[in-house]
Amino acid sequence: MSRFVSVVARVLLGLVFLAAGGLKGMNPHGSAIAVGAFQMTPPMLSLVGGILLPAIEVVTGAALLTGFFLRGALVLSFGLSTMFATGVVSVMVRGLDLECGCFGHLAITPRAGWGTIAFDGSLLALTLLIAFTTRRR
Amino acid sequence: MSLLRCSCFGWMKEAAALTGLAVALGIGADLVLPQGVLQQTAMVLRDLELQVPVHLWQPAQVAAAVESGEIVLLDARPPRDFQALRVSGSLHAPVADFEDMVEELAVEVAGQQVVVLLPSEAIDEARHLAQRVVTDLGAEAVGTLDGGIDALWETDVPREGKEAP
Repeated sequence: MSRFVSVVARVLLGLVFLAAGGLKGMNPHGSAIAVGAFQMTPPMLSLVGGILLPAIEVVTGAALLTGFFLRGALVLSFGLSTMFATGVVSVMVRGLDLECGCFGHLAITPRAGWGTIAFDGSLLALTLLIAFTTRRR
Repeated sequence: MSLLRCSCFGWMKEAAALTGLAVALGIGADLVLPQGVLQQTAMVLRDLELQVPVHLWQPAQVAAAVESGEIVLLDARPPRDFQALRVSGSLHAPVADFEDMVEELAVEVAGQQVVVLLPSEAIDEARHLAQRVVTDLGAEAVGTLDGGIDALWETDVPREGKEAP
């Protein structure tokens, strides 16, 4: 049973990261601007983030789906989800208005807020669920 | 304890390997993509440097700030909507005419705190215009309204126009 739960969670989380990274990766300029909009990093770091963030998401998603380097993918997934949630909390504390940019520039992009924190929290919960069920096997 | 350390080491080693793969993939993909960031670094850095923080205002905050004269409201709706109902004392600069009104508006808003008013469905336009209010008009700070201008009619903000009560 726990194996089934683990596989479903892995596929779900993997697809989310693949979609997020893929959509951002198609527009690296927009991705860098989205990182910069959080006003947490200097321009050069936002630029590097715009290049590397989508790639890390794609690699994490692919590793989760295939099970290749799964433990490493869980570490990255934990780090990414925590980083995203921290960024959104920081935006809310500073009272900024910006789109979350979670899936690049889709037609409907939610504002960075409670909904985004709930989404990042779900990613974190799935990560911990996979880590827990995988280690128990 | 040492077992835990060993186990953690394995997890971190895998994460480092995946990160290395991602760095190679990221740089490779960026070089291949026509709109890659590395091929236009100067332009992307300029865009990043021009980014302005846009604050999110709540309707009640705006109503209170209008009362105390802390902010300037920039209503960017089409003329028909503005004539029907508007906040008393708000400036009118329809999105379509913004370009032609830059000089005139700059006199009014330079150094001020500005909130851009548009309907909630035009949030992207409002954010874009808000950036320009700082970069082109010289406002000190800029914000948008949570829920758009319609949310403001729920407050007791002073209003005027054909449809004003």
